[in-house]
Amino acid sequence: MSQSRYDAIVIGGGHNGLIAAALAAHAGRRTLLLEAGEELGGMAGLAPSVHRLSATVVEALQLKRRGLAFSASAQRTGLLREGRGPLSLDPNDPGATHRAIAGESAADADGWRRLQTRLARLAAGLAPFLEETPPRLDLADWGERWKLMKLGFAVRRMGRDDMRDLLRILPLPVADLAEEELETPELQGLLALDAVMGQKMGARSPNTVFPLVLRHAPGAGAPAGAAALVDGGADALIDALARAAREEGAEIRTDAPVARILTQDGVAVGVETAGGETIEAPVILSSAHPKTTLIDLVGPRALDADFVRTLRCARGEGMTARLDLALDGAPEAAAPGERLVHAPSLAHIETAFDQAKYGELPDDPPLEVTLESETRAAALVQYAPRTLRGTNWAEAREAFAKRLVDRMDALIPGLKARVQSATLTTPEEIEGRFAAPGGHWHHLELGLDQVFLLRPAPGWAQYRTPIEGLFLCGAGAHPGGGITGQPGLNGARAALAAAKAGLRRPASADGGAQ
Amino acid sequence: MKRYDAIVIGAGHNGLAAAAYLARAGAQVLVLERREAIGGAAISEERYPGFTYSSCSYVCSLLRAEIMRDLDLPKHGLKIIPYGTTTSMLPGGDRFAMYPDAELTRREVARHSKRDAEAFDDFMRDLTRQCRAIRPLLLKTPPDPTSFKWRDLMGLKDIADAFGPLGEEGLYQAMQFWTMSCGDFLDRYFESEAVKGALAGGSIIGTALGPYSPGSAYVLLHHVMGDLDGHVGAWGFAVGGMGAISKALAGAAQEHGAEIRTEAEVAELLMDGDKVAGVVLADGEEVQARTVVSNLDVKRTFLKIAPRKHLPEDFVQGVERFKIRGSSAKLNIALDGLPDSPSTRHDPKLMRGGLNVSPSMEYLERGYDDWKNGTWSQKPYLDIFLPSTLDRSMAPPGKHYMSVFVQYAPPKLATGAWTAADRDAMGETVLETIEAHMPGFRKLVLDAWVRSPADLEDQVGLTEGNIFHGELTLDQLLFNRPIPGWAQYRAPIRGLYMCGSSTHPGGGVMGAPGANAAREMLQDLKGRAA
Amino acid sequence: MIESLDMTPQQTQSPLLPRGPTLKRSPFHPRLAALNLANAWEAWQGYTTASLFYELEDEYFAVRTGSSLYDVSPMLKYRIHGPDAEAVVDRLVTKRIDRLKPGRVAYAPWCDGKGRVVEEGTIFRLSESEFRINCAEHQLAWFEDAAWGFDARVEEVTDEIAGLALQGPMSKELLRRVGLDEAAALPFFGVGDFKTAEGAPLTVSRTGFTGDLGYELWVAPDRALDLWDALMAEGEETYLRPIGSKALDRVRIEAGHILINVEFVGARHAIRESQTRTPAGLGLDWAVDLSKDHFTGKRALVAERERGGPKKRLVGLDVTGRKPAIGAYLYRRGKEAGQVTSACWSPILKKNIALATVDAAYASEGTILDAEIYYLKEITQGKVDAAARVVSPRFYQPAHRRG
Repeated sequence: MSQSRYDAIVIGGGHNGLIAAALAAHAGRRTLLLEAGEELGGMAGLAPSVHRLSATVVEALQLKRRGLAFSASAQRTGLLREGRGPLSLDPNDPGATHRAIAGESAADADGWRRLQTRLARLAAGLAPFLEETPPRLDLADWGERWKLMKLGFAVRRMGRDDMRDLLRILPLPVADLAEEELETPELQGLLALDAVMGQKMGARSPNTVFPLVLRHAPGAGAPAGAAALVDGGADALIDALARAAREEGAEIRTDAPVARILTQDGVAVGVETAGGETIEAPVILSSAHPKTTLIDLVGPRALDADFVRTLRCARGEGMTARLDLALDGAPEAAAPGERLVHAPSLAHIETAFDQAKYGELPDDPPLEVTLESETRAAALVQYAPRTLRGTNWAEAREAFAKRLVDRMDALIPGLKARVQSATLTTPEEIEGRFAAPGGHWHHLELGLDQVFLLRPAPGWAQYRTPIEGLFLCGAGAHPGGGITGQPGLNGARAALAAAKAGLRRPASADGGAQ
Repeated sequence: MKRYDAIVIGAGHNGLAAAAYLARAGAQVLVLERREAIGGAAISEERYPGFTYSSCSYVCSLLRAEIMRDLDLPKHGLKIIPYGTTTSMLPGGDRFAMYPDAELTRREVARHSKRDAEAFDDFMRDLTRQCRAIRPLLLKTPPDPTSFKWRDLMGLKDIADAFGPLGEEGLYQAMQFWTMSCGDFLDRYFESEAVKGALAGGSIIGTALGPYSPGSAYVLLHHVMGDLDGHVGAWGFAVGGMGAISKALAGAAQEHGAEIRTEAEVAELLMDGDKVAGVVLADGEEVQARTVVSNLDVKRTFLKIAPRKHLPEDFVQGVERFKIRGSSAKLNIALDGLPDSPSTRHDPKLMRGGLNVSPSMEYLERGYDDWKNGTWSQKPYLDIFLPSTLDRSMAPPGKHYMSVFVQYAPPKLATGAWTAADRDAMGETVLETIEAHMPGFRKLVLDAWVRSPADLEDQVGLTEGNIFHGELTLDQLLFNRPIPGWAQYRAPIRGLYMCGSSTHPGGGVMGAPGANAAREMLQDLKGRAA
Repeated sequence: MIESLDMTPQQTQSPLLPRGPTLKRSPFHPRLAALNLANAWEAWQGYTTASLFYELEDEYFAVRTGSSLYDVSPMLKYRIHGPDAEAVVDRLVTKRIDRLKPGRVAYAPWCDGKGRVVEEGTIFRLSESEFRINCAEHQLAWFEDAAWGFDARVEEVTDEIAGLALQGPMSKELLRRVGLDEAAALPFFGVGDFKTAEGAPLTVSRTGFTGDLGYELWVAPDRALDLWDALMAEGEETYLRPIGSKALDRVRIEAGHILINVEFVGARHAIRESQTRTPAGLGLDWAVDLSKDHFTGKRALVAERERGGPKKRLVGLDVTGRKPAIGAYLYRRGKEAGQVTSACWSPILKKNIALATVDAAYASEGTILDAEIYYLKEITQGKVDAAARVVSPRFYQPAHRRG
């Protein structure tokens, strides 16, 4: 059994893990990143595009210099309509978009534009919350009080009207907002699907405007009011991040699953790999799921029983599957790079959700199809429950994939003839492949009851864990999933600050590593 | 011509409470009621000979003790008897009963899950903590969080002072309580469906949310934050029906000199420039007053009575967007005798308390799905009471009055507006559901008065039939109720106020909106007099 | 166990009168009922339990000078067993359990993650892989959470075991008289399995809540009455009396034993945070080992120690005068310093004693506090100001209790 020693170990080679490793290395720490899979990237590979990457991350890791490029144009969205051509929304051509919507509803042509600006403005109001380590609600601690007041002032700076607007609409069901502002069913559907994608929420679930606003948070390289696409998507991002990490001096090992996080007297002292190797480090950053990190890798023996219970109660049931299609050419009806959305109405989404919430597969699930290239397409399938009632994924998988392809063929004529193979990735597989209990894309549901101060668990939103020296830096930490890099950035900063301030060391050797 | 200090539009319990507080402070008050009887939705009606129906609201817990004391309601005849138990009637004759006695309840929970019996203690502790935090805010005017005015800053401090003692842990829990679904919340404590189903009833009553809709945990809290004689979450019957509450409030108002006119429908406001000067009745009569306060819900007040041209456009939009979704129906039933249920045979005393059909979370959630799809729940949640078991004045000797609250029923059906046939069909669904839990029940039915949400709107004046004058969701609570920026009982028209359940702290026979509005009005009246 | 009280015919006839289960009865109930001349009962965890049998002084002196029987069947009992049982219990409580040998008993509190005491109780190590915890409140959910993720099972066995506390200086003698010499010879805080004269399996622990020499005897419910009868038959020479909770409360105060919901509220039930206590706040520092492996609450308790200890502490008080300082407020130079939680006149010590929670600044022995004592003077409230000296709460600790 070989032994080795680092200043910091990062668990998980997804985008957040890579960012944390690069930042730790950049700060002069001897850093080792351990990725369980053969390849880097983690769940980032499931996302059809990257459009909300934090500007701070891009800057801190000089990603542009390291080859990361942003698309000059924003992604086009086509709203699929059966029997008619798609309603095309092109952020690069507001005039065309306006005309296209006006063909459906004159009011919506302006309404859509107004809503986009409003959401972007409100999202900007939330931005200070995303960059910060959330405070604790320990009112006896004046430092925490001050942080809370600062955030309060940040909201007040939005101005009276926007603040009132934000406080009212954050907890709204997205359907209500859609009905208040729009009348075209497809636009309402798009708004709602953007809000609930990846989540266990329906269009009429309260609190769904919150993820929608979050989606409009400004990303790096974004032209005002539009999302900036990373050229080459998640693959390109992961390449750039891996390059950054390596260049900063971090060591990256793939195929190196961590079996245990070693603790001694409540202090993290290193990890043991599945291969039996013990690697020591005083700082451990885990971008893995919080439940995996704490319950599986640390284990309940070193944790308080009520903390374990709280963690177990964190909700994260995956509801989204991804269907990958290999094509022998693009169907005529679609252009590569475009996002095609099948969410014809609010009722359509809600009906699908109502089926899925009981563990049934929806008859006609809403879809977001992206033609990644001439030969590759991916569809996000909302909703596909993690656990099926009365059957299981092994039985239902093939038939469901086939049904999806048939459905897509009706929506995108000529698609089926192009399909060489179709591979469905279910939440169950996501759970297994990425050690993410529940198979949720954001690790934990992005509900108002599980964000900010409450993520991943109330009182533990500061990236630290009950184990001294162990920090979280994945989607389960604030501000959550989506490829922003923010948890990786915030987590690494919190860990580096704590290490600099001085971490407690194990009191005695006789407690024994366990 | 007489000029009143204040006219109250609508003699519901909040209007009457406002009138009583105003009159008590020396104001000249006139209450105008459209219908022939006062009470609004807190009313007792004899529709079938010898029976008194609490025809809308049916039980009491939320009526604030401070109001009962301030207005000396017991002197005006109000008696409230706690009914004690709540029993969830389960399929096959099983039950889950909750008693005022903790040990008896524990034993009941333990029959379903030993673990849940203990979780029940944790649950009650957490609920009690949150109720203690909210309660001081019920009789306070919500502050405007965007304002830097002294009173608003102090109001924010009141909120901080109320929640501060919860401590760090309790504050997180408060955040979760206000944002979570009742189902997710209960899942943290309980494993038994029977226990969860029974507890979740409170999270859906009057609400267009399912038990798994985020935000429904607060509705649960709203239903337990009342107390009776100091017992948190206890509910009771008003002797003589819920109309007794309105009668007592009216008595208090009249004692202090307020006038009450029935069959006096207000058609519009009388304006003096941009200021309220009184009201115009449907028959054209004009009544002058320095201030007018509306007990009607905001939609009725601002879309029907107040002159639109005097209202800011964004305010009108806010009113139009205000969610006031009808989701409940009501049956009042005259029975020839006491019904029997296998769920209560072992302890017939349970018949004196609440009897629910609320067997599981999925049962309730599927009921909500029906509502979303534009029909009444095919398997409805029922909240059944036999007030005559404790108050013999409600029915002739040997006979009983049964009140049945039904959740969910939509304000409009997928097929269009409610028809008489629809109403009968819904009634049939409900009666069959009761029969399934109380075999032989239907043979006892002498009269069954079915009221759909549309009936509640037409007959009682509840827009869409919403019993709370607006959904109790986070976007419509506290400083957001009814409309952000307008949560302090004042309307955008000078001299016009709101005192109905559309305002903080919301619905239920609580009286707090009325008392709060009166306090704000008196402040302004005093300011103007000076 | 008997589920409900008998119903009278009238009750069954009236449809709306209460019916159905009320308090459960302990397996010893038939004997207790026959002896309860005072007809004084109270509820304890859903069971009918005797407050008093005949005369408080008689029952009290039986504990202090003879022997006594107190029915502890309603006590909650949990069995934790399995390969990881030791790890579960060690993570649960504040004491080192890996050092607790089979056949030994430990008394320890268990805390929540904030270091607040959930409850305290006795832990029997019955074998390498089996423990039994006895306590006053329901803990199944808490114990199950503690065992989650481990290879161990938790079962509530309250109704499967009847318990009798045999306490008093002559209790050892009484055990010998009924042929349980080996049990009588158990060491202090020892536990073992024995057989009654009739051959029934019997578990005996050298434990108790009186601070005196004593045992607790545990049998299957259907053997409970035999055990009772056997002991009572030999009781004449050992001044044996059944005692109720009133006598027990007095002796437990003398022994300085804390009582949940009196000295503190368990962390799972407290509505007000201020009513909870950490072990140090209850004077249980001695039962906490902060150098052991992780246990729930350890981090919080380490932090508390680093802050200089709890803000409030439990102390004993020696109060002047004769009036028990029940519920008395305590002052130090006019400033509020704490409050009495339990108080009584101690007939054996001839002292007016009390347990109190005071600000840590006033917790050192010898501090004199002013107690404001209210008492009923026929029909009016009388008030006396008494001096209260802070002393160890172990007021009565006879050498024979360990002998």
